[in-house]
Order: sequence, then C-alpha cells, then structure tokens
Amino acid sequence: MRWIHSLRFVLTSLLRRRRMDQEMEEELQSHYERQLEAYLAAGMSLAEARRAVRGEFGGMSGLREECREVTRLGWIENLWRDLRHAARGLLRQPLMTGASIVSLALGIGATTVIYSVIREIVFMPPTAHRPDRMVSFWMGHGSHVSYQEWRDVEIAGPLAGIAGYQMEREVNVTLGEETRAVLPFLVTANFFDVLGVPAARGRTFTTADARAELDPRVVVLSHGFWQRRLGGDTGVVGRALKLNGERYTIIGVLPRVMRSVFGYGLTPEVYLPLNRHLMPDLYAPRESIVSLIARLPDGLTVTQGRAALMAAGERIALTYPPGRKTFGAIDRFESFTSTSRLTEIPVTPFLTVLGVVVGLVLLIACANVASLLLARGTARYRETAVRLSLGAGRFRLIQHLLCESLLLSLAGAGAGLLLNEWLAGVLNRPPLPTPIPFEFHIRTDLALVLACSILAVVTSLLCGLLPAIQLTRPALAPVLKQDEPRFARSRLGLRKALVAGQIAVSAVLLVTAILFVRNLWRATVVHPGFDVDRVVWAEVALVPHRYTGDKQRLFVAEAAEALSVLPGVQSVSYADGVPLTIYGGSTRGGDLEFDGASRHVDRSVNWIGRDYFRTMGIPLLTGREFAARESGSPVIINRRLAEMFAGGHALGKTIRVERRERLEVIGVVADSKYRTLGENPRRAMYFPYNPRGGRVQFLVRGPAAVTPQVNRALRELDPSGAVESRSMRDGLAFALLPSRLGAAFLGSLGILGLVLALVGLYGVIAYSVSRRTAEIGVRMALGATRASILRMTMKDGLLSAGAGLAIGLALAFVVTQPLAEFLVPGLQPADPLSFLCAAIVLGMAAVLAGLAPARRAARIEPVSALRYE
Amino acid sequence: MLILKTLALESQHGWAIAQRIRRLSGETLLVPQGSLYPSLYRLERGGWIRSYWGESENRRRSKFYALTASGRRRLEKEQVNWERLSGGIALVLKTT
Repeated sequence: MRWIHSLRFVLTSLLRRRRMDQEMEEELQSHYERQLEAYLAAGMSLAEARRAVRGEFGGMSGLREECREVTRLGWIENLWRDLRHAARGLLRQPLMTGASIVSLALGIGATTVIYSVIREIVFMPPTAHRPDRMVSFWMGHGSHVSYQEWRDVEIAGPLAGIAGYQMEREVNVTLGEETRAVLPFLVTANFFDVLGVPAARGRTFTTADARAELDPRVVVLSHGFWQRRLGGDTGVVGRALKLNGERYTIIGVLPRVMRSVFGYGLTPEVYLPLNRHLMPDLYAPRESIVSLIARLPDGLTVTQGRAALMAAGERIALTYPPGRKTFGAIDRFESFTSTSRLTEIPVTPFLTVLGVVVGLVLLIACANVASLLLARGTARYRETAVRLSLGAGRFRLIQHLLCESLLLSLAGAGAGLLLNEWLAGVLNRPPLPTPIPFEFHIRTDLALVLACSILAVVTSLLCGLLPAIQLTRPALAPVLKQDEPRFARSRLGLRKALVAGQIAVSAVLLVTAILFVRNLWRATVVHPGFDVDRVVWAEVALVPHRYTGDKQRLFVAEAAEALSVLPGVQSVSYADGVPLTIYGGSTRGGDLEFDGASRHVDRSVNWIGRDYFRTMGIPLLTGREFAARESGSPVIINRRLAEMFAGGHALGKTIRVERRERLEVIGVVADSKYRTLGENPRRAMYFPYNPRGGRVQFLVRGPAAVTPQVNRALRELDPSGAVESRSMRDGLAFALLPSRLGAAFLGSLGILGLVLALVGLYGVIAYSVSRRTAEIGVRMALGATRASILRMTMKDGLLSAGAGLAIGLALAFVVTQPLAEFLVPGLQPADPLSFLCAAIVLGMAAVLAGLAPARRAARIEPVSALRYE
Repeated sequence: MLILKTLALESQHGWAIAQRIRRLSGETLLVPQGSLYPSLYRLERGGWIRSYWGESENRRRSKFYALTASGRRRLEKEQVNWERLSGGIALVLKTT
C-alpha cells in the first residue's frame, strides 16, 4: 500500500514539477518571513534578524535540492535522463547508429518474420466459433467415411454436431466466356452450422435447404474468389454461377479471414453442399466421401468427447456388414487448437533448421552491435574512468551504457517489424498458380509486437551487457595513467576471429546465392529439347460424368480437328502429360528386358496422340509416330533408352516389361527434358493416347498469337469444360519456379549475410582506429604519410577479412556439392565464376567497409590526437 | 515522530510546527529548517501526512500539513517504541 501512495506522490510531483517547485519556494519563503518577523518582534534589528534566519536555514539551494530529491523516483528519472543522453549520443554518430540499427533490424526482422510465418501456418487454428471446442478425427481407420456413415453418426448425435468435408473433386466454374477448374470444398449441409462461421455477405447454407438429398444448387464463395473473379461486386448474392455447366445460386460470401479446416493456408475458392450432380457416386456404400469434424458439447472434455463418439460408432457398427465392423475405431481425435498436428508432417526438423539459422543471424547481429558499442565505448574510455574515479556507481554507468543498446534494439525491432509487415504483405498475396489457392493472413498484432519487444530487450542485454561490463571494469589506475587497457589485445583478437567467421559464413551464403542466380539465368536459356516458341499448350478439364464410355475419345478427335483448321496451325496433338509442367507425366521404375537381358530401369512415361513429336518439335530419329488408332502394343522410346539395346538398334525390337507385357519399338526420338530443366538425361517411353480422367492436354504447333483462338475453339466444343491455353514458354514458368524460389531465397540470405559481415568489419576497424588514435598521432607527427596510415589501419581488418574469405570459399566448395541436383547441366556446384564473383564482391565490400574508419584515421590531426590523449 | 506528534494535536504549517516543537520541548529542541522541510516531504511521500493550502491565523496563504490515518498509527507505534527504548535507557542509567 505504502509504495502505491509513494508512487502517486512522486508521479504527481513529476508531472507538475514546475508547480511543485513554486509551492516549495512559496512555503520556504513564507517560513523565512515568519521567522524574520518573529525575530523582529523579539527586538532584533533587521540585519541581525536576517543573519540569524539565514544561519538557521543553512544553504537555501541545498535545502531546495534535498526537498526535491524526496519528490523524485530516483531510477525512473535517471533512466529518463540516460535515455535522452543516449539518444543524443547515438544521433551524433549517425553512421555507426545506422549500421547497428540495420544489423539489428535484419536480425530481429528475420526472427520476427519466421516467427509470424510459423505461427500462421502451423499454430493458427482454422476459423471457427470457439475453435478449442472443435475437433477433427478419423473413423473406422480411415481419413474419409461414406456419406451414409456420416449420416448415421450425425443422427446418433454423440457430439454437438458432426460435419463432413472433402476437397478431392475439381469443379469447372464458368465466368462469362471463361471456364476454369477450381478445387472446392464439398461439404455436408450442416458444415457452417457446426463451424459456427457466419457469412460476411448473404448467408451460408443450412441443413434445411442444402441437404444432399434435396440436390441443392447453392454456392458460398470465399472472399478471395469474390474479389478476384467477381471484382468484389456487392450485388453478387442471389446471382447465378455456372458450375460444371449447371446453374448454381450464390447465397453468400465468407469473411476475408477464413482459415480452412484443412489448414496450412489452403483456402478453397468455393464451398458447395454435396450433391449427386457434383458426386455421382455420393451414395455408394463404401466410397470414401467426407472427412469429419465435430463440435464438442458444452462441458465435455476432448477425452470424454472421444469416448462418446467411440460408443456411438461401436453401436452403429453393429448394423454394418462384416467388413465395416471397426467403424467405432477413432483415430487422430484432436482439437482444432491442439498442436499435435506438428507431428503429422515432418515440420519439426525443418523448423529446427530454420530456428538455428535465424538464431545465428540474430547472434551475428548482436555480435556486430556489441563490437560497435565497444568501439564507441572505448573512445570514451577515459571519460568513463574519470566518472568511476569520481565516485559514479558502476551500476549507474552500466545502466547508462545499456540505455544505448536498448535504444538501438528498440529502433532495430521497429525496423524489424516494418520488414515483417512488408514480407507479410508479399506472403499474403496468393503467389502461386496452384489449383487451390494458398492464402495467408499474417498480421502484426499485439502478440507479435510483444514478442518483438521482448526480443529487443533480450537483444539489448545480449549486445550491450558485455561491452558495458568491460568498459566499466574498475581498473582505473592504468587508464588514468594513459596505459593501454589490459583487456584490449585479447578482446581484439576475439573480435577479429568473430569477423573472420562472419565473413566466412557470408562467403558461403554469397557463393550459393550467386550460384542460384546464375542457375536461374542459365535455366531461362537452357534448351528443354522441344520447341517452346512455336507451341501452344491448352489444358482441358472436362466434367468427368459427362464423358463416359468412348465420349472422351470422340471429343479429343473432334477438338484436334477443330484446332487444326485454325490459321497458322501446322499440326495438333494431345497427350496425358506435358513435360516440365505440373502434369509432367509420371515416372516408373521396374525391370525391362532388352535382347533377352533384364535390367532395372527408371523411365518417364507419357501417353501421346498422333503427331506429338512433330508438334513438340522433338526430332524423330528412326521409325514413325503413333497413328490416330494403334493396334498391338507399340512403344516409342528416346535415344537414351534405345542405347540399352546392343549398338542402339532398337527399331522393331521388343521390350518386355516386368516379364509380362511385350512392347514393340516403332520409333526412337531425341532426348528432351521431362520433369525439371536441371535433370540428368532420363530414359523415356511413350504409349499411344488413352483418354481417361477428364483431363486432356492439347498441343498446337503454331505462332503464340493463335492462343486466344485455341481457347475459343475448345470452349465452343464444350462450354462446361475448363480451358486454359498459353504459349509453351509461359507454361514453362512452372519449370523455372524452383530456380526462381531458390534464387530469391538464397539471394536474400546472401545479401543479409553480406550486410551483417560488413557491419562487423566496419565495427572492428572503427574500434581499432579509436584505440590507436594517439599512436596514429605520434606516427603522423613523426612523418608518416596519410597513405601509410590508411594502409596500416586497413591492414588489420582486411587481414581478418581475407582469412575469413579463404575459409568461407573452402567451406562453400563443400556446402554447395549437394546442390548439384538443382542446377542446370553445365553448371557445376564448384562454378569458378560464382566463386570469383563472391570473392570480388566480398573483397570490395570489405575494402569499402574499412575505408570509412580508416579515412577518419588518416584525417586525424597529429596535434589534436596527441592532445586527445 | 515529533512532527507527527505536533500534527496530532492540529494541522499546522511548517513554521508553526517548528515553533511548537520548540515551545513544547521547553526550548531544548530546535528543529533547523534545513531538516524540517525535507522531513515533511518525506512524511508526505510516505503517506503519513498530507498537505493542503489554506489561510493561517494572520490571513496569510500557507501550506498546512495534517496527520493521516496511517500517520496516526505510525505515531502510536513509534511512541510505544520510544517509551520502551527510553525506559530501557533510563533503567540502565539508574543502575549505575
């Protein structure tokens, strides 16, 4: 209680300092006058009375100060004064302050970014009303149950609502002229009721109007779909949307932040109630239709909920056929908010590595700032020593020095938060053309700011405490006697090693970064083995249940016919897969028999139509292409596979697959790239086209300008089919994606490492210059030229930089070896140009970093330097 | 303690406190201003007394100090302590 009172008193005095002072003045004055009057009344003369009163009062200003002292909360005022003092000091050296802040901003920023990304992707529960009361689970030893099974368990009602969802069926959405395939969430009618998420606009569907049995034709849109595809049209509710060629009514739009129950940022564009139209096999008894989620009834724990569900499941299982008696088995019964899904995916080692990297970056940043502060502090070493010897408390001095690092850390944290904000903005945009968009809602909230502030305080202690303790070490005599501080030499050695290490690390990062940038550049010009400039790729997703039997084959033939009459088109083909795209065909491994000898062979396989090689511009070496219809078991192989035969003569020979099927080689084609641009030459087999699955890839040989016509022609054939056409060159963006991501990620890491290493180097040279100011002065007085001083000061820093560079390049040589797989052929991990570039960049940067303090050293006036000492 | 005791009788301003202590102690205890005011501020900070501005007997604006409830408690405690201490000292002195 007492301290509260005390605090209030002090705070009011602090806030109304001026008034307090006035009142105090008035009070003392009135006392003075009264005493004076009293003495006068007692018969003293005015002069005598004055003298007497003054004598009693003692020093008036000392009294005032003593009174004031009582009204102060000592350390708060001291802290405030220290902070102001520190801020002024830091502002006076903008270069060093800037370098420290940049260093810390990168360290804290990197940590914050990783923290917020992990929090968003791994720890944020799906959007739901009270997500801690929501659970997801498996039933009957499977991730999915049939529709009937869901109904049975929902009607049994062991929990406060059980809903099902699935996201395995594509749906074609027609908007105006364009039809596009999207991956929706197909959900049970009670899905939104169980989740407890209302629509932001319109409404969500309910059991009353969207049961599968009613064959509902309603759709709820995601905020992203509404914004991107419908331009955020406010009158959208009640409109029609064509799905798989049929009319659906838009009844609502979901809130902007809607993390799907699947997690990991996967955000479906539309939510549809299950119906027979979208899933013809909906009522099939054993079909895997939906995954389950449920809401726990109030008052039931997760364990109790699981028991209740299990009991209900076992009761239901009694009525099931023999193969389904285990329906009551419950697995993975977990709350939305539980973090046990961490074990579901192999994210822990990844997170560990990420954590270590980020921690290292932060540590390097701290080391940098520590050495900068040490450099700064050493310049004021004598000041500190004088203050200590005059009786300043060591704790007070340390507090003063820590204020500086605290200010730096806070500024760094602020800049780090800005960095985080910017990166979050980049991540929050759906960046990749995936069938189901990934949306992130990373926001800077209170928790993040709090985490960042804590980080800043920890950082300030990390980078401030050591220099502060060093600088206030009470070894006064030698300093006052102008001796070298005893610790200087060993500290400098440690710091040199630190800088060398840092440069080594950034050399590794830089080599990798340059390697990947070069790789990206090479990859854009590497030849994939087929023509990318004169091929148009059109992908058609048909509504599967409309193309049963032979209908798909007919459609393909008809479409190829329609495309071949377009202006400028030389040939048309179709295939199951298109190399270097998401649908790049598949890889098989197994025993193949050539000339009677069996060998294990991994090969790319694809099913292709007539004129495929002519259309793709892949040279046919011998034999012929497939005809529109083939009989028997013909196969076309690439040259590398043909080499398995004696002398490479494969034409007309037989390959036996897995000791069963016999394939006759009717043609041999040149090698090309199949899955990635960087892959080693692969063996490949081509089979005649066999329509299936509703997805067809058309390839058209003709100018890129024909793309829109290709699109239109295919759309006219079936408006419900989703068509996406692009030139082959645009389509290859996917193949370049790993190179691009790698270059971007490693490039930023390289720059990060470079900046940090430079700040470190700058700190070390600045430190040694400040240590040797007197020595430099003496040397100059004795006739040393500015150039020789420059050389001398640069030497130290550059020596450690050079050592670090050598170590770093050697390390990089080892580290980059496993990266070979990502590199395009012809680019070795030990790419001399990359190493040379890294060495030159680092070397030049090191010289630049050292130049600023070294030039300051060279500009030292001998007289002032000597006087300085 | 003396200041608290003085204020226990009635609220006073600084000068009057000094005068009263002098008078009550039979002119033996002279409280110098140099220590009076810092003590007053300390007591106020501790919450044992509070201050307000008012008019003194000769219509002069003065800062008055008054005892608070916790100040009264403290005074009692100090008084008991003091009596015990002085009693003890007196006993020691008597035996010699």
